[in-house]
Amino acid sequence: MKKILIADDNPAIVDALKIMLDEEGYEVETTVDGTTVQNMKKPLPDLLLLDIWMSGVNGRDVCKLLKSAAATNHLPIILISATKDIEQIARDSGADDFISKPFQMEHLLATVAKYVNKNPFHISRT
Amino acid sequence: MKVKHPKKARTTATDNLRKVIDAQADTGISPLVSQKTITTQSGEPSYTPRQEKITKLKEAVGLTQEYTNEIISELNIINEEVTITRDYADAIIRTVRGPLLVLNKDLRIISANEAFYNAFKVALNDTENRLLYDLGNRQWDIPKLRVLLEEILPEKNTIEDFVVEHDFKDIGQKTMLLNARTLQQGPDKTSLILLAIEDITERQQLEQQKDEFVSIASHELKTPITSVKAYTQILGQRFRKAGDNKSVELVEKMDSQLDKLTSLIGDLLDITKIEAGRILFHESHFNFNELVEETIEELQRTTEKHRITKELQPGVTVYGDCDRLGQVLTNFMTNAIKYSPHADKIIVRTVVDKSNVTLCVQDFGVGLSQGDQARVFERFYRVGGPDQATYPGLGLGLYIAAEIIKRHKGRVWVESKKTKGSTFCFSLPMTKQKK
Repeated sequence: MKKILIADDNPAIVDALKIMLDEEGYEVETTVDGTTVQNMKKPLPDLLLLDIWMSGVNGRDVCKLLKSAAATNHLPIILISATKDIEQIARDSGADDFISKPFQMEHLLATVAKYVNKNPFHISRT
Repeated sequence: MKVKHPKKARTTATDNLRKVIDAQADTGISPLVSQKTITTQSGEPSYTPRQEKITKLKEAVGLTQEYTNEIISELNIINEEVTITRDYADAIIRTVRGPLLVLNKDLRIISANEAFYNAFKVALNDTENRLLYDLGNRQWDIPKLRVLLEEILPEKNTIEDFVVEHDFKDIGQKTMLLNARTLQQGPDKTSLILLAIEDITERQQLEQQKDEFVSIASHELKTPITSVKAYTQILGQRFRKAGDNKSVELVEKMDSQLDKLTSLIGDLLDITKIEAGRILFHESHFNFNELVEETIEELQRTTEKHRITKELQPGVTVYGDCDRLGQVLTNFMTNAIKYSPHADKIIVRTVVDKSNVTLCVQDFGVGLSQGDQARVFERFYRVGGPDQATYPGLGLGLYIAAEIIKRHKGRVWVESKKTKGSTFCFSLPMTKQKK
């Protein structure tokens, strides 16, 4: 089972994201504390969904840090934020992709699937 | 203030004096030459002509005295007027709240107003007759100021609204708006320079604070919308799985209302970015028809009443910001839907010429009067009238659309007739434009 780590300081958003990804059959871990992401230990998740403004921790810096360390630079990171400049920030910080808040669920699931190499047919749609 | 012109009065007084002198010449006497005694043939001295002449002379002297007094009093008036004019200029310089300097052509300070001393914390003794650059221990030796005063001003004679930023040792970082003008004065045409220095540091900081506030506020407003929208979509999916189509429909309506709320917040943010000139464009070549078709598809979902038809020229590629141009298309089509509640058709057309693509969205709705057509792209402009009040909106959408098109070196316009409907169009160059 693919593991996704969600880091966002808003509990309601973390909760909703977890439900969506749970229902898709992912193993989901969450944190509302940005510092825990900074000091991430192995085993690494298969994907990190990272908020940009996280009460005292800047997701942009965290992303740069993870992408510059040998142990974590292969970890796919998707930045997720309500800031309009997210595209620029994603590019500058070396993130693999970005999702603007508020997001469409289909877009979120498709983007996540793209980076965890999940079989797209597994995504349940009715 | 009305200043009586002194020249005329002076001429009159001089003329009068000249008339007196001329009159004296007619009598054959000169007021400055002593009179000889005139004797009659009988050897008796005759006093009569002499007395007459003396009388005339006295009269002439009296008149001269009178006119001299008149000249003196006129000179006094002129002097007074000069004083008034000088006081007038002084009063203006003192009253102006912005710092103002008067410099000579060598950039030495002839005078400065109180506002200058207050704003830049310098004393009169350390200012007058000093070289501008020497003020405050050479804190005013600012490279950009040198360029303005030594290169631009001599050539153009005026400087308007030049922004100079400088970190002053005593008063810190300042942003100044400079206006200057050279004056030619006196018979030898000595140059004077008037230099107005407006400290816009605070205004700029307030602008920046406002921008930051709107940026943070929009982020904060979007955060709860994000979770509500996410829960809404989770519910939608659950109802879909359970085959409860009625509930799916309700939840989708909720979702589309949340999108409207998001786009209103986006508009508020855009407006501050446009005003600050900080709107960023990510330009690339993209398939324009695909964008138009996607937008039509998206908006067709928001209306049951209207059918959006398309007449597109095939194979159009445009160099520009795909998302921002999509925003313009969405705005035109949402307006077309919004302002044609009793119609059932909207037409989207494109026309291509050698270098431009033109896109028009036609509706058959309420239409716009001539006056409204001219103003509909203005910021905050909303069409007035009793029935118009029922149409919601902030009056920002078309303004933002027009700004986006302008930034792509294109143009926007509208053709419309009241009660017959409107056609909103934009035209864009398809290839990359020089900035």
